[in-house]
Formats: sequence, structure tokens, C-alpha cells
Amino acid sequence: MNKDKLKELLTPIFGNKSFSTDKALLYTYSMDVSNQEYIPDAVVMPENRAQIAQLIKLANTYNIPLIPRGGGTGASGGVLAVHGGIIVDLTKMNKIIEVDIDNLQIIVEPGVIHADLNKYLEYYGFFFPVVPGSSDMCTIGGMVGNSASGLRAVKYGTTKDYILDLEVVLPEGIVAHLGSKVQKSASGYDLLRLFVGSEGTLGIITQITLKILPIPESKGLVTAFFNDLELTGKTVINIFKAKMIPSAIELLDKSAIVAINSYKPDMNLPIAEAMILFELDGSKEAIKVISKKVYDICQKNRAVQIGMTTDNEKYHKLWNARKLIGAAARRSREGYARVYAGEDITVPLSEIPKTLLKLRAFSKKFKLPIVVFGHIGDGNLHPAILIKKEIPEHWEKLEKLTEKIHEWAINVGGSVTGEHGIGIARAKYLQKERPIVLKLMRKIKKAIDPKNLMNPGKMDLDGGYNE
Amino acid sequence: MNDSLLIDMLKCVRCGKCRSLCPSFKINTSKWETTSARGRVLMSLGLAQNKIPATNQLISDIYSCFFCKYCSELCPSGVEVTRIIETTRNTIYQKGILPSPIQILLNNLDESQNIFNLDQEDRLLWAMNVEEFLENRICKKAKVGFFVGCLESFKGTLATIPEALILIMNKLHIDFTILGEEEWCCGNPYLIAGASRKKIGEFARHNIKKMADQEVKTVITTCPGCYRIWSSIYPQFYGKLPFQVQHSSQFLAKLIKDGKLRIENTLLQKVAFQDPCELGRHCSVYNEPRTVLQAIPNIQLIELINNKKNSECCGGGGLVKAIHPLLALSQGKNKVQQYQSQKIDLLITACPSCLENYRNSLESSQAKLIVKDLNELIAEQLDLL
Repeated sequence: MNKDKLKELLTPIFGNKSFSTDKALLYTYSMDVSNQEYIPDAVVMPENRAQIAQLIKLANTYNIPLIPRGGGTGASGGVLAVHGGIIVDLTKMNKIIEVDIDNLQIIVEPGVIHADLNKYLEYYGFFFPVVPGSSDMCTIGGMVGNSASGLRAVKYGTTKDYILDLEVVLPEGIVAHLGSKVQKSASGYDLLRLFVGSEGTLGIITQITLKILPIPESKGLVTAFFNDLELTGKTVINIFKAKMIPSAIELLDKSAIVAINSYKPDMNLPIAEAMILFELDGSKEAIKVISKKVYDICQKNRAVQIGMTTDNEKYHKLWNARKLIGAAARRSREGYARVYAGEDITVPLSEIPKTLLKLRAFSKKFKLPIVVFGHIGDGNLHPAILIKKEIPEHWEKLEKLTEKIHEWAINVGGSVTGEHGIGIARAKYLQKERPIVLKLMRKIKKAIDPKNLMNPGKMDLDGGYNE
Repeated sequence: MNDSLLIDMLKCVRCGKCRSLCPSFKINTSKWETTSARGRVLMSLGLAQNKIPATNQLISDIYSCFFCKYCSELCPSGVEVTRIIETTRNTIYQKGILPSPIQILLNNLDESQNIFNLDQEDRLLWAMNVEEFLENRICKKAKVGFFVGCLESFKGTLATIPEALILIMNKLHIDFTILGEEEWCCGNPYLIAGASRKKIGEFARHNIKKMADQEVKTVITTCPGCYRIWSSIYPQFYGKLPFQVQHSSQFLAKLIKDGKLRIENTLLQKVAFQDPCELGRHCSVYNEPRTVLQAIPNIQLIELINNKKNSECCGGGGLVKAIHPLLALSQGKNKVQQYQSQKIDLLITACPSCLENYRNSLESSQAKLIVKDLNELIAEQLDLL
């Protein structure tokens, strides 16, 4: 659709200031963290549900694809306009609507930044326990769309475990509430879980009711350094066998340690083959006892250096550095850039030791550095591949290496994505990983969005419209 | 665009950390991606690769960056965001499509060697109250050369800053000179506007020669913008300078350390220091201003919530005031509000641009905060002002 026609249609809904077809502006919405680039026809910035409902009606009349977007921090190309259309930037819908401590919940608009939400809840002594590395940048709407999780999934689960209700504008313009205020419900199909992780392909979320929890009394951190990569996986399994569930168990391999030291030189972490960060939360007494047990297990598994801290400043320094390791990974190798591809595999816990070694072998074979870190406690690893973007051969190797990593994950019974989603980047693997599920997904998509207007071109769902 | 800068842009993984820090994005009500640091890097990349034209939106938002360098400081990937934006401003300059207030500013510099297009003969108007101390000190051989800078020379409201330093130096019998009408703009506005480096080189050559002619051992300045250019950019043109360059906070800190400057008057106020971006993140001068403040007996010096490397821009940088005056003012007001919550009596800065923006912001606010320049405060403590 041409620029003038779009202007004519969008001005009555958004005025002159909340939509744009400026070429430079469109270009800034053509990318996310993945390596894809698609330029949309327009970007709009709604401030309320009514504008979204009107937009969806307009999209239906003129068959215009709509692509909802939060902070643009996704790693799968999920917010890109593959078939053109209008990007719906939801970051201005960032109000906290209601806090209901008695019912352990908070209602927010989708554009609220994750870190802001937890800062707000801190006053009440509560928190939303799911913490992605992109906490300062990502929106709650984006987390719901991608079924995000992050560092504490091992104990607290993922976003989908905290969604009590979603207000959604469906593709035909109807506003629906998919849940309620209750903590549980067995009333019919669980459409909440269907929409969490639907990547904007089923409707636009306009309000989210999140379950919240009281902030634990205190936190502690145990850091253990290993000279044998394989032993890290075994240590984690032994922790569980000893009947402990830390609030986070994070792995950083040698190159990730080097990257952290470069990004935050005052951390000065010892260089070892790998380190594990165990975050513990609970009462002060419990942390004391559990820290000691974790310490002992690390020692038995030949950790070469083990540290424990409950010091708030040290805790935050290390934790914040860990959160940004994804983007800082390139610092481990001068001249290289980090690319997000094959970066989000999940494997069964028992396969972690072998997977870590396999990633090393892949790196050697393809002669590309791979910085490995991730949520080892739930089997979600983030191999960060580094390339020299200016060398075409590196891009070719990257494609093959990504293929190998994904194949490995599927072959050991894992998944190509633990928390970053499918989008475009991993769409071709869904058929391999879950063929029957994909078939059902296509049927659901077609039933809810018969015109394929909601974020088309994602999750290999377009195929359903040709069947 | 040089290859190394393009490679630097390609290091960006678009994680958005810079966007979460960017003060101009936080304060901009439109919330378009283009108004954030990440958006500016993406536009720069698109422009460098000829994928997009330099649209009005691009130009406007490339010139809404405060040049505070917070993004570069904390970018996990180590992308030099501010340098990229500086280069994109240069691309806009080369295309001849600068926003008119910036073009006017550059024309002023070309024509009159100062940003206000005022007569160079008027460069000493600021000094009316200290004329007696400047007799035989203009373009005279001396150990210290005081480079006053355009803002303080021509803006009457900022004249107390150089006045204060003159009074302090006079009291301490410092052998100093100033260049008077022979002083040209340091060239910083050329750099920030995106103009040709050749222009900066011309101004650098003039200013260096004039100071060298006076055989000074040290050039001092009270303006962090001038300090950055003298200390970091001039040597890029002419190698090691024949004198050292100090910001006045460094100069005063050294005098205190050597026992030459003693402050006896007490100060019973809760005082905080705002790190100016061009002094702190651009030049890594953090300790000296604090050393000077701590020399005041009984001072209750507290740190702002965001300080040193994490200090947030006052809104006065990046020539934003020229194009988006309300944005600069909003940032100033926003900062004043934050300081109120820390219950500070007196905010000290060491930058004329910060001082001006805070004073403008305070005019339209109910805040009781008082803002002063470091030199002013020290002169007051010495009963000179």
C-alpha cells in the first residue's frame, strides 16, 4: 500500500504524531537482535486499546499485516515485517494499571519494561520472579509473546506460569479476556497458555495480569570454577540429587569469563574452563546451610575455586554482568562480532555434559569461536557464535554451524529454543522438532486469524493457509 | 565513512542497553526508536550503507543526542556509539543539509571565531568586575594561560565563573595570562556539529600558537568542552603540546595538594557534585573536583545516585539546545527533580553548559536547589565573590 493511502487511513486513528512512514524511521524498525532485515510499510504507536481495535478493523478491511512489537530485543526476527505491513510499537502503552497484593497480582500494559516493573513492586515487598538477561530493555508484552524466561526458571518457572489473565484484541477486532483474577482455573481449554509464546500471531495483547510473589528474605551467591567443562553438568545434576533447587544456576565457559572481565574489569574473575553461579534465596539461615551444601558438592566435583557471598554490592555486580554477557560475548575475541544464531538450544539435563563438549568440537571444526553460557539448571544453553561480519565465508560457515547445533539439540531430545522463540530464525526447525504440533498450530492459527494478518511469516505458520 | 567505524557499527547486536540508558530517549515523549541511542546507530548504519536517505526525521534525531557518552561507556559490545553519531553528523554536514540553527552556528564560527557572531573585541566584556586584576595580563608571558571559552566570555550570566577563577589566581599570586580578543573558539562546536576536522585544526593551530607565544607551562580552562578539545583533540593535529592542559578543577586540586590553596570558611550544607559528561566520561576526570570540595571545612559532600561514570547528562550537551530547546530543558528539570529527592541544598558543577541548563530549568520550577560552579563556590569560600 502506498504511503499516501496509509497516511489517509492512519491519521484518523493516530493523528499526525503517532504513525510514521519516514524511511529512516522504518529502517530502525527493520531489525531486532537476529540477523534478519525487513522494512515495514509504516509504524504506529498506540496509546490505548481503542486505537488498536480500530487498527485491527482497518487491517481487516485492507488486508494489511500487523506486527506487534515491544522493546525490539527479541532474537528470532519475531517482530519483523516479513510481508510488509504495519509495526505496532507498544512501548507507549506502559502503564501499571492496578496492584492487588491481597490477590497476589498486578495488571500492566504490554509496554512496561521488566526492570521497571520489579522496581515498582519492590516497594510492596513483591516481585515478578521471571528475570530475562534483557530485563532493562525488554517489555512484559514481549516476554508474554515469546514465553520468555531467563535466569531463575530453574526454580520459578517461565512467564507462562505467571499469567493469570490477558486482554487481547483478536484478529477480527473482538476484545477478549482469556483468564481471570483467580490463581487457577480448570474452565475449558487453557487459551492463556496458547497465547503465551504465540509471538503476536493470534492477536494483540493490551493488558496482562501477572501473578507476583513475595521477595525472599535474602539472597546468596556461590561461584565455583572448574577446569573440566564436563564436570559442570555433573555438578548441577548432583545438586538436584542432593534435594536442592537454587533460584538460578548459570554457566559461563572460559571465553564468557574473559568477556565479563573485559566488560567489567573490576570483576577480575579467575580464568578457568568454566564457572557456575548458584543463586540461592530464602531465609538467612537456609542460605547459610544450603551454601555450605552447594560448596561441598562443588568441591567433590573438583571445583578449583569456590566463593560465597551475601554482600549486596558484589551480588549485583556479578549478576548484572552475567545478564549482559549475551551482548558482551564478542569481547572475548578481538575483531569478531557476536551473531544470534543457534543461540537458544535446550537439552535434557542429562545431555548437558555431552552437549558442552559437542559445542567445543563444533567450534573447532568450523573454526569459529563459540562463547557458551546459559541456564545450565534447566538445560537451556546459549552458544554465542562469533564471526567477522565483513568476511562472507564466515556467514556461510555460520549457517552450517547453526544447522549442526540445532540438529544436535533435536537429536538428543531437546529443542531449538528454550526462551527466545521461533520467529523467522528457527521457523524451519519446527517441522523437524514437532511436526504434529506444527500441524495443529497451523489449524489453530487459521481458525483464529483466517486472513493471516497477525504477524504473518512467523513460526512456519503460513504453510497452513495453503493446505 | 571509514571501514573501522563501519565494523564498529556491525558489532552492535541491537540489545538495546544503550536505549535503556539514553537520557534523550527517556525524556523524548515521541518514543520513536529513532530518538534512542540504538536508533541512531541503526540510522547511521543505514545511511553509511546507502540503504536510507538522510530524512528530516534522521537529521532531527541525530541532533537530539546529548553526546553524554553514557551509551558508549556501558555498551556490552563495546560499540563507540557517540563516535558513530559524531560521524553521521559529519555525513549530514558533507551533504550540506545541516539543521539551520547548526548551520548558523558554524557560519558564526567561520566569520567571527566565536559561536555568537559577536565582535572579537568584545571577548573581555565578562571581565568588567575584575578589570583591575587583568592589567598587563593579556597576551603576556606567564606560567599559566587561562583559556576562557566562548560561553563564559560572551554570556553575561556565566561571567562569574571566569571572574571567580581570576580572583582565586590573583589571591594566590599565580602568574597567569589570558588571550583576550586573540582567543578563538576552541573548536568543540565544530566537532559536535559534525563539521570538517580541518576547521578544528585551523582553530587549534591559532590557539596553540597564541598560548605558546606566551611561553605558558600550563593552559587551564573552566569549560569541560574546551578542556576535552585542548587535551584530546588538539594533540591529534599537532602531536604533544608544548604545555600541559588542565581543567580548573585539576588546577585547584593541585594547589590544594601543594598547600598553596587553603580554605578556612566552613560550609554547613548538603552538597553534591554533578559530573559533567565531557569532563567525566569523555576525559575521565572524576576525583579532582571532589578533592577540591572536600577541602572545604565541614562540607557534607554526598554522592548523587548516579555519579561518576554513571552520571546522567544535565541536558546541556550535544548542541541539542540549538535544535530541541525544550528537550534540553526537560532533561534539566528531570534532573532537578531527582536531586530534590536526595534533599541536596547545593549542587555543584564544573561546566558552564550544565550551570546554564540547570539555572534555566530551576527558573520554571518550584525547587529550592541552588546550583553553582565549582570556581564560584571556592571564590565565595575565600570571601572573594
